[in-house]
Amino acid sequence: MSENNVINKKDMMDFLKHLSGERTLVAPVDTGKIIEYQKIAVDTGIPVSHGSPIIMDDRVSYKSIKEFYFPQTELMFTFDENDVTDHSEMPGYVIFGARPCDLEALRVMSIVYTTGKYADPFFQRRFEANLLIGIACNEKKPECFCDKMGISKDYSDFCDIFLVNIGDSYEIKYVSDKGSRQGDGSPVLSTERIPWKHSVASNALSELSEVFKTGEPSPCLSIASLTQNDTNMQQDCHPEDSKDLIALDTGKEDSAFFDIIDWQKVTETCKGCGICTYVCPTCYCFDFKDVTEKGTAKRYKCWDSCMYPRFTLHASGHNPREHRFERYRQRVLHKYKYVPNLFDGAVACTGCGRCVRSCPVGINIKNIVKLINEAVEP
Amino acid sequence: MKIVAFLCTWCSYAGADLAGTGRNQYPPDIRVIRIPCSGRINPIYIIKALLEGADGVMVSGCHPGDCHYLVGNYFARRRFVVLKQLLTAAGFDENRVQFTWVSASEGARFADVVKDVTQKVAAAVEHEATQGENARAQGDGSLVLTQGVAQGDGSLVLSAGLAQGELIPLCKKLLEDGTVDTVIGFQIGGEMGLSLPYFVSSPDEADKFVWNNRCVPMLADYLRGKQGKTAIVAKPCDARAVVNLIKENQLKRDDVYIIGMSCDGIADSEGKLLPACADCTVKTPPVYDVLIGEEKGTQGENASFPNGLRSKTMGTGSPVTQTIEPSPCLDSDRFQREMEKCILCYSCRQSCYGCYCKTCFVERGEPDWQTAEPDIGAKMLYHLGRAMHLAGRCVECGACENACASGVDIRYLIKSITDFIEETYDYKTGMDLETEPAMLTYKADDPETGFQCFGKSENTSNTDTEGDITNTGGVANV
Repeated sequence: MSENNVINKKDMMDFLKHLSGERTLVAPVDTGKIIEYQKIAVDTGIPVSHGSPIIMDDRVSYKSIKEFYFPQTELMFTFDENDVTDHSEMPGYVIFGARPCDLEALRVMSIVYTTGKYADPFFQRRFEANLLIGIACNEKKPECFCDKMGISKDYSDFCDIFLVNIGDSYEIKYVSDKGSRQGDGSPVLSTERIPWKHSVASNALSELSEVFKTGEPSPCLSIASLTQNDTNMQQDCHPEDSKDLIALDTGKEDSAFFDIIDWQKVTETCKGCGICTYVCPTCYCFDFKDVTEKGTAKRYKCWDSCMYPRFTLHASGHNPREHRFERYRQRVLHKYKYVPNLFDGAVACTGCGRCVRSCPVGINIKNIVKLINEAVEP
Repeated sequence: MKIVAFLCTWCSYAGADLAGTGRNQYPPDIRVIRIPCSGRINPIYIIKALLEGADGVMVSGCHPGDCHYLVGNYFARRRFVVLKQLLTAAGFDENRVQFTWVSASEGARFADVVKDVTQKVAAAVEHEATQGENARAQGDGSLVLTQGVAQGDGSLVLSAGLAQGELIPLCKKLLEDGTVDTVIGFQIGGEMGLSLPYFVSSPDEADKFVWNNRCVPMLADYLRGKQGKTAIVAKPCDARAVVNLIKENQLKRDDVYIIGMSCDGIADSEGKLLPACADCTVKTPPVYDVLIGEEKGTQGENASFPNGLRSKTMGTGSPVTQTIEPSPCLDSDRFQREMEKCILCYSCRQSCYGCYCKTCFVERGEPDWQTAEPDIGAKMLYHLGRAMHLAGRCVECGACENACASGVDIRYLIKSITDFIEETYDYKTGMDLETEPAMLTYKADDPETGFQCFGKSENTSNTDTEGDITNTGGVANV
């Protein structure tokens, strides 16, 4: 059960069909302008609305997979004078082709949403309903800096099934029990089984995880295990030299970073559009909106963005983060300083490069963290 | 059927009253809302009514020339003609929105107009429904469309060296002799060769200025809020944006020094021409203090353009997609499809030079235009409302679609009215400092394309050009 299998790309659709069952399959497709996740009709293998067939090469999606765990808008419940109706039924997704940076980002989001005082039942339910298929990156894109964040492009165990693209076929690794339960018995799996050490990514993989050496599926993708694992996460998965890593000194006071660089200068070109927070796989802020209608009302949970002035606008009219540079500073420090402080060292940036890729004026968060560190050291 | 009727209180509302006292019968489908003047109608009212489920919207005011406020309906007329064009481009049947003039003495005409409007709206609603079915029956048109988009062979190499050789000494000189306090230009340093906006106030830093075909960001927006005199390295679209900002009193001409850059178009990360640049016809900044590069002419066929890529058709520069340009009956399908992609992040608004309202209408609390659900209606309201706000103000820089994270092609919608305004009112945004912006002026004989002209009244002597768009120009402003 735990051995690795190889599956031809031609048979992948059948395998996904086997996996999806009741769930909805989502996968990255080319919609003409960008690569994005779309619902796929399993019978035909093409998107329900529009776009190319599923992308099986190294192109990465513009947005992350977070919308399948933390949708942009989620109906929480409807209520009237007498009743509150819970909308707790979650459509499960089979998510194909999440990159290691996305998987690690989901790990951070899981820590935020499932541990500590404020567990989010909506996230938890989706988490349990979804089946997550990760895939290794064979090449690093120019904007990516996962290596600088101590994340390997070759593997992450925060998924149910992990794939490595080896030309015409994929190597399949069942990472979680859920993955192996769902995947076994698929008629399209090759009978030929080869060990990981023959694969293109084997060197990196063998260094990375005990799981691979033993070959046993780990119970890793469960909420219960998060609390035990998260403190070791950084050390476990990050074999690189820590000197190269992009990080802030989390031991310092928050206020030490407020004037450490000329924030106004480094963010003067920012247009405040907030696209960085929309494409970011770890940005998890949300807001509630109530919509009333003829005696009933609905409560929605919607994404919010710290890059918008209304994010912090008080009812009095006072805005503690009135200027763009203050909002940008918040975003950087939240990712690299506040989240690590609050959640035992988990950094809310995985170097996926999406904010760099999407910024209309080319602001690069990596360079700003570097600037801060240059200002600290001398 | 439900038809929302906005009636001006001075003429049409009184006309409706007269129809009542005169016992003129008309269908009971209209719901009347009394307004002070047809000029008071915010186009968003009409869009919102349609999106909220009204079958049709009718607007009626005083006859041109008879406005209680003298000229309110002249401005309204331009707005309505453009709005109708926009709604048609977005796939609404043109007959769902009806504009007309009814005076206080025309009770019988009011009844006739309502009868006619009701019939037309009923036919329009039916037409839209069958169109939708046809579109769905044709099915996979979208699949073909989306695959061809990126294939245009727009690879271009810009001879940046020469322009840059002039640019740096010029910027240094401007800063040294105190002509300007700041220069806004580009520097290298972005990923994938993207040039970044670069603000310089000291001559020593000017060496880093660059000019190349990856100068994607728009700089005009940064001028607002800059203290002192600022020079801007302006692509033609930037220069047009600056001109329009000056006209809208957002900038003072004396505070801006325009370093005009002759421009062959900007490329994406793969070296292909950006779609907006493929459609662009203005290769030289129309207004500048100094021009770098050669004068390329602003209109007409342009020899310097590679591969004949420039396209007169809407939306895209790719030859592949031109052959499968959606037919008129698929337009609503196209709009719907683009709207489904939108995630309402408002990046297009933030990157637009023209969107500088302190509070955007979608974020205003009173009235609450935008619902909390980002459903397709909310997206349509935002995009149609924003398009209307950019009527006669869009400089076709393409910043909206370059910024979009979801690849929404929204430029085609705005382009449809930009082209229409150019054709109808002979106005192109930001081409000079003198001409009044198209939506801020009027002519007595402006065309009334698509207006309800049923039972045309006898006493409208000065509006004899209804439905005729060729009959513009040459008439002095009233």
